[in-house]
Amino acid sequence: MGKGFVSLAAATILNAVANGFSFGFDIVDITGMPGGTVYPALRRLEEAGYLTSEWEKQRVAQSELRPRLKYYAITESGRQVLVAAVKRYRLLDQAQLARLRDPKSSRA
Amino acid sequence: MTALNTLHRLFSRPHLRLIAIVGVIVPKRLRADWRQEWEAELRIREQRLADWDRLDTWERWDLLRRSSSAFWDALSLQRQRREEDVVQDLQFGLRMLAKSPTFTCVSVLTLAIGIGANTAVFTIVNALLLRPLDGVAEPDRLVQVGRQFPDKTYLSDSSYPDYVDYRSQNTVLSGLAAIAPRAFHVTARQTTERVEGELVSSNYFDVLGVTAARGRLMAPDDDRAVNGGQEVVLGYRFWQRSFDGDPSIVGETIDVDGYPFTVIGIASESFAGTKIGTPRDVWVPLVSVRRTDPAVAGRLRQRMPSWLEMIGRLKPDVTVDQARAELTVIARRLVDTYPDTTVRAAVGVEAGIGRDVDVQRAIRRFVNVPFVAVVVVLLIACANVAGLLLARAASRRKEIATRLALGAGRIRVVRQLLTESLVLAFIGGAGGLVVGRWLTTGLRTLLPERYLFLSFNVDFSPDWRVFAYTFGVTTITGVLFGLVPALQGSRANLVAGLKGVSASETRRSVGIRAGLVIVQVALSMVLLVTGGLCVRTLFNVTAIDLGYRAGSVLTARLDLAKQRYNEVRGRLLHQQLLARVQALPGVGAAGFAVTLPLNDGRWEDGIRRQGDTTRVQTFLNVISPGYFDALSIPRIAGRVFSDSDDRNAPTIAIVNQTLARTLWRDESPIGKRVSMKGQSLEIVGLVSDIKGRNLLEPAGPILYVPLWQSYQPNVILHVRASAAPMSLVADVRRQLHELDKDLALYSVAALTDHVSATLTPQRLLAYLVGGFGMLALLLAAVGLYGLVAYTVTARTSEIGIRMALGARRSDVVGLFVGGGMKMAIAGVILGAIAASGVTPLMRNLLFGVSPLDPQTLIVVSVALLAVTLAASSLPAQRAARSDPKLALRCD
Repeated sequence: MGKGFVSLAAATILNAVANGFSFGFDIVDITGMPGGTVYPALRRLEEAGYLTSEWEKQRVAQSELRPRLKYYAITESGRQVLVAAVKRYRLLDQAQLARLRDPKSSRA
Repeated sequence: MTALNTLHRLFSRPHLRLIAIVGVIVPKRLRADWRQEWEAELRIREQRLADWDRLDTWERWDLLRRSSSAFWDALSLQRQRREEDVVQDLQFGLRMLAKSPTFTCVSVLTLAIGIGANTAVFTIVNALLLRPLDGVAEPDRLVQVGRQFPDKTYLSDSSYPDYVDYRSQNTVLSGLAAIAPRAFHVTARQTTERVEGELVSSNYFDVLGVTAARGRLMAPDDDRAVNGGQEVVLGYRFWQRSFDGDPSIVGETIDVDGYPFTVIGIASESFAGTKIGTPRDVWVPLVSVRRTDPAVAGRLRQRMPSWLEMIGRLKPDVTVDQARAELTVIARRLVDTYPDTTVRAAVGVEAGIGRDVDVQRAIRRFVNVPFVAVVVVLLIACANVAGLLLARAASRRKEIATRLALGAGRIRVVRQLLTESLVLAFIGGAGGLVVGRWLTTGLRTLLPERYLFLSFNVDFSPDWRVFAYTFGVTTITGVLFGLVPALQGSRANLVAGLKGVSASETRRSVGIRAGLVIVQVALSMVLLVTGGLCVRTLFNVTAIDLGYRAGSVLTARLDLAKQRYNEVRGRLLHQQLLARVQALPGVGAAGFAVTLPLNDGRWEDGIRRQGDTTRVQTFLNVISPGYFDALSIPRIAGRVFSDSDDRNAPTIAIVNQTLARTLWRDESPIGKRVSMKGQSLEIVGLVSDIKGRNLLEPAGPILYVPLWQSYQPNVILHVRASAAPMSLVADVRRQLHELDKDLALYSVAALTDHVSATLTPQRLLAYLVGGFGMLALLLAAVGLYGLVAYTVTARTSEIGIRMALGARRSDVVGLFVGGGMKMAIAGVILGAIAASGVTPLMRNLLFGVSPLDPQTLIVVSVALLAVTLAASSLPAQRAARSDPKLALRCD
């Protein structure tokens, strides 16, 4: 495994984050993968430096009466890895990108 | 009310509760964040969907499903668990074990015995039942193919033309080989030996995937070569045994059944044929019979005879069912194409080669009792170690209470105590492997070469299965004996714990230990009673009157079929040999027969009274004069065969009592006639019945026919010696050698060996269950001893007080012995009840003794009570010898 190698699942998740899906459960919804796959992958990607994470502001969560959510953002090296992955996993390019063009519309 | 509340809490928002539960396995420092992340997600979904109460079942189920995938996430975090935790526990555990060497040694020894016994039994079961065939490639892709007759459960052999058609017409097998087991006389470098081998098609080794240790093996095309059929492959063991592993044997020409063959190679060391337990020494090409055996060669063209086993290898993606389906089609085609010359039978395909289904069933049925016995022994061992751990936990109360006070969770403490138990268990398990090895070697001496159709000539060395089994047993054992002491020892009675040993804690732990001892005694009782019944069965069976005297009789087989002896020469040889042997000093009598009195050959035939049409099935034995003398079978009426009853004399026979009764009721059979296979025989003698193979069944009918009138090339010589039968072997062999140096006797053994082999199951049971029963008793006694010794130490101050108040030493001893015996008696009563429930299940394994035999129960109870009395008095005596002043002073 060379540097910058990500599996198809991890590349899909990276792609989702890059396209604006920052919350874990959003990624679960949009990719269709179970939480048991997405969350470990998010942690691994964060460990590898391709993502950063932050807890949302307490005020926002309190106003909606729920615990704080963790949200992820893609880093520069993450973008590079994503570009390489999209080249390798060509399916990512065609099927995903079109659907993801408008992230808001997928949030029911 | 609170129960309902708890339930309500549990089931409202079960998805969140599940996160809390799964969170237990997440490493502690990551737990809070982890739970936050998952709960936040689930909560958001919940809100998005609606209030919890307004969700329908599907939506609630969906939430639960999502949270259940948190389990996999938590698992993935295990990697991040600071290994320090586990390593810390291990190091601490080892240190604690090293601090108390006596405890550790006793526990390890006890566990080694318990686990070792299980390992030994499993090793034997593994060798007999589980181990796949050695020396072949991918044995699970090999299948047996054969004729399936409607009334038989096993596959039958096929014919050569059918085999060729199956081989060429199928598309499901990558290869199909034909095999005919056969004995050969191999002459090489001046010695002749009779060996077990196989006639095989030339693709045999290819289909099986066998490799050569030297030289090469038969190639699939060898059949078609012009000189095909002149090569043989030797078995590795045979090569080592008879040729000293000399590599120059490859390429040499040897004689097989008198015809020259070239040795082209030696099979690999691990391969010995396709039947586990029956090693083959030589493989000869099937087509060679055209040259060496015209009688068999004729069979090569006939479709009817059943004489070839077939083994095939499934192609990579083919299942057994698919193979069966296609071969069935071919079989039907054969029946249609050759309606008159082929057998109307279905074709059967069975996965797995090496063992008979019947053999497997028989072993499985038998192995239950010893297996339960060793599990009981292990349970008793566990109880012992649990008791020791309980005692130890009491003395570590201070340490544990300190931990708890400093904030360690109870689970943490339990985990650490369990780790210690597991470490102890694994040390015991390692010892168990060694003990198991010894036990296996010891048990093997109880096994004969073969018992009926079961051969014990298998590899008993441990393989990965044995290790995996031992590992599993060890882990379960560790948890079993470690759990209760761990839970007990971590009870959070902080104040009392910090102050020291409390009376109520001691009482509770002693109470548990007493319960354990009672259970141990009860279990030993059950095992011993069962063992006692098995031992009595063995005695009863050994005492059965065989009808003949087996002691001092030597048996040896002689096969003239291969040695180019025709009837005339063969008969002459038999007569000369018999005369010579009878003349030897130390020989009381000698005679030939075609089957041992155990009816191993199971010769059966149908005979009729002269003039009658009803056939009667009877065993048949072809014997020479001197046979009845050699076996000391009494003659009841008429006469026995003599040398004048030969080809020129009228055909006669002798019957035994059972046959006479079957044919002629109470009339004397002398002078009557029977007809067999078209021949008319006059009965000239009546002899006493003898027991057949199954000593437990009544004698069967036997018809004896003179060997001098009905020549058989394959006979067994029976010689009655005035001294030890085996001492005559050399002399008898010499006599044969003087008559023909190319002949050899084989299967030479004392008749008593054959007889005792038929008693293998009874003997095994008696030794196994009886032996394990005594082991169990020993362990239980040790447990009782330990408990009484412990109570003596714990009640030292009480002893001091009593003695200061005027109690005599004998009173003190009586106090503790009484306590111990109360437990023992409770155990004996419990055990007797349990035994009475268990032994009736063994009814069909017993002989001559009832499952509820009171004698056995009484003897075992007395023995148990005697041993437990000794186990209680030893520590009690020590108590009585202690100085009351010292006892009072110590706390």
